[in-house]
Amino acid sequence: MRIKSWSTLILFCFAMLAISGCGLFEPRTPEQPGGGGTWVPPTTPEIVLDNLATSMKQKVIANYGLNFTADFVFHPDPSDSIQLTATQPYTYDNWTDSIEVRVAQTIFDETAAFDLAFTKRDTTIFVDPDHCVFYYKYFLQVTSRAGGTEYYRGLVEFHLRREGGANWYIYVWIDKRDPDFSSIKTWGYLKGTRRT
Amino acid sequence: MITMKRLRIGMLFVTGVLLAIGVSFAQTQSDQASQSSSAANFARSIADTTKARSDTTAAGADSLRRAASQARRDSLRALAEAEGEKPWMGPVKYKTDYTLNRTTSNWNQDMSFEFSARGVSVTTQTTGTLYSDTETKNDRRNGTSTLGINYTASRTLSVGLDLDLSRVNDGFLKKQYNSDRVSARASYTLPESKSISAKLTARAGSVNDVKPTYSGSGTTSGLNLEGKYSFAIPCTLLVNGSSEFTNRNSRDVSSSLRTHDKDIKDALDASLSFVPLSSTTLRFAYNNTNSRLQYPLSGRQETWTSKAQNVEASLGIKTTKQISLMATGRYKDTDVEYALDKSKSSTFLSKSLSTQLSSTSLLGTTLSSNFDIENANNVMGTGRNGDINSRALSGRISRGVTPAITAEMIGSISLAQYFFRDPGSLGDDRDIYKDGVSFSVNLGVPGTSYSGTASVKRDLEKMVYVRSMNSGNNQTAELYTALGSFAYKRGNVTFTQNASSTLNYTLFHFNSNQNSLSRTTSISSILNFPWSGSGSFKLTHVYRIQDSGSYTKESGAKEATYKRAGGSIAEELYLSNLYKFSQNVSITVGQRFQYARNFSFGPTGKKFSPPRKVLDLLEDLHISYAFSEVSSVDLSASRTMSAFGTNYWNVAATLSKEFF
Repeated sequence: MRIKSWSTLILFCFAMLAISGCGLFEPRTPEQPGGGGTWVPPTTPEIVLDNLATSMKQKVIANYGLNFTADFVFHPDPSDSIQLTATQPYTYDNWTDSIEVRVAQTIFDETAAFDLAFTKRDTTIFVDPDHCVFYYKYFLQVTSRAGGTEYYRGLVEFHLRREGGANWYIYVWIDKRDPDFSSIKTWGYLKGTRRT
Repeated sequence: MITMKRLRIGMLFVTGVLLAIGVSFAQTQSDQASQSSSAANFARSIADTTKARSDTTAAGADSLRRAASQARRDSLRALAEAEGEKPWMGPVKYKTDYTLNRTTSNWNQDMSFEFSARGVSVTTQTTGTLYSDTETKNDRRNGTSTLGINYTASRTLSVGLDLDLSRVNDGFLKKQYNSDRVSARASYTLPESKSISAKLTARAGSVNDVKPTYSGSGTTSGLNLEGKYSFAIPCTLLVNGSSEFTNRNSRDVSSSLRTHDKDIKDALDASLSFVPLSSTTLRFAYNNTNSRLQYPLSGRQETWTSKAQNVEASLGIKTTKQISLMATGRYKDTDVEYALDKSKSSTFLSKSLSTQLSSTSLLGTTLSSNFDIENANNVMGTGRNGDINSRALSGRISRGVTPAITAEMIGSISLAQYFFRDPGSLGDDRDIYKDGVSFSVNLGVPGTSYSGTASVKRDLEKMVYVRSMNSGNNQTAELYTALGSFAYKRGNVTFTQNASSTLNYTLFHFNSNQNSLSRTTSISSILNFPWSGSGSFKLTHVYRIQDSGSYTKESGAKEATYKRAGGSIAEELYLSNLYKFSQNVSITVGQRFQYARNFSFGPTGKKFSPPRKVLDLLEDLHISYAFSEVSSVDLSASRTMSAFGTNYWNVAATLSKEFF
């Protein structure tokens, strides 16, 4: 009796291993990266914002991800955080560059077209030759694949850093509601709702 | 013994009061309705989808509320229909609560009453909410009233009347909305039989809606049939069919278009269960729904049609060794069509197989495993056309090693593949692979002073874009977690310590220079020390250090080396004293100190940013008092005073009372 039970247990473990090791869970082999979209080497901080807008319009997630540093963090508007975390706890916690790219991919998947415009609202502050802060207003129009268009407005504070004395990248993104359009949702709210 | 006179007086009084409160509660602001502000106009000008979405949300809330009130009526109806029911009147229940939290305040009131005698049952409920947010200048008042009257004429026939009234005042938009439903119904139940049971319900009524995007009124009707047939062999057939029709004249708010709306829904559910052996169960289920809806949309009349079919077959087997196997196959086909905005149309077809194997006692071990595989195709009106193939396997083994130690191992693996056929989506072709394994040990014997847990976990996720356009972003995220907790108890004093450490690697498949690692270590300690029968002291300390960096390859070097980029140190100390003046009155005074500091690594070495220090004094007063078995009050007020001068209150009060 005991031998039979042990056999069942071993058979169970063996079946699990066999199923997982039979290639059923093997991802496809990707093509070598290259081509696709426009990405200008960001030798000035302004180019980073151009690249960000272009990668969204062209929906090339690889180029979108190239705009951020490895230690990138995103800070939502506190009202968005309070509103969303009531139903989705920890939505904005530990928002790194990989989370940013994953969320952007989800938004890209749902979107037929983007229209993104930045308007300067304050002087760019250069903290030192390798660090600067941009203050912009943004207007984001998202035309959904499922039909319909949604609009997002807000204020954004981009902290950019030059790495290796060459290219500029965003390392902090602070999103705020625009007091002139307090009833309009922010980009940060859109991002928060798409984090799964 | 309740007399009929008393019942009638009570019923009439309470019903009248509740309905008056419910309808008038939200009308306080209706006189203030005036021209909408520019913000309101802008909000209304936002695209149709936004409006449709808000309508959908409101409809969801409506249906949820109506479902709750319907369930309430159903339960009472069941009570009234029960044989030998004696006259019964429930107490009038009143409850109010008020909360103030920084910028928002909320005041809710709820009153309900139930009654049943001589085949007549009545249930009514009224709720009201006043919500205000000073930051967003949002002010809303909601009021809803429901009334259900049911009369059971005989064992087979019952009739009833349902009334649902709802009012919403939006102070921001300065608008008032309502949603009213009145309907009469009759049910016929087939005389009791061993093999067959059936119930037919017919309903007719009126609807009146004033919503942000449209207003309209009309009629509704519906027919529902529930049936059950038991064969001579152990086999049961369940059938549920329903049909609903709504006919309404509407006016679109933005375009003033007048439309004739029709909402037709029919559904059929059927399932056949067969138990050929005591250890084997076979089930076959079929579900079909058809809906057609006409409604105004931006100056035109849109027609939405939805057809869905679901087929499910399952087999369950149980052995004498408490080993069970369940296999289920599913087929789903959903077609949605929009006559005007065809971009919203879609078809979805899915075939899936799911199996579960489990054993609750195999050599003292608990085993369970799941295997799921699904193929789905989705074609959208925008032209996007793709397949999603997914498969997942998971297992769990748990075993008691000794009476004090339990070990558990959990493993999972999954793959989701996205294939797209339309040229615009080819770059989105991707595979998402995940696997995870964890091992944990729990230590603890009831009655001893010590208990503890230790676990290690590894999670891996691969994002593989197949096409060259996005494959540069392919990456693998590896997360390693170690957790430990320890608790010691002596008398009333308890001490708990938790520690965790994580390593989070992000490895790029085609660009190893972007590889990164972030590490987090956290330790928390909690001491709970009751210093008297009424007072207790609690000390909490949390320390967390986090850093991150990337792997870079120096020129000429063979391998990349890890360089830290920056991180943070955070610490929190919280001391609190609780004193209970009585069983119902208590006060808590606490002090919280938070310290956080970021650091970064540059060419000149490690640099610390100025630290952030926060010192808060927290006071909390809590009073709860039960006047009697049916009346109670609960009040809590807390104040936070920060060293930076930021002070705020949180207040909550609840009063419950039953009358009669």
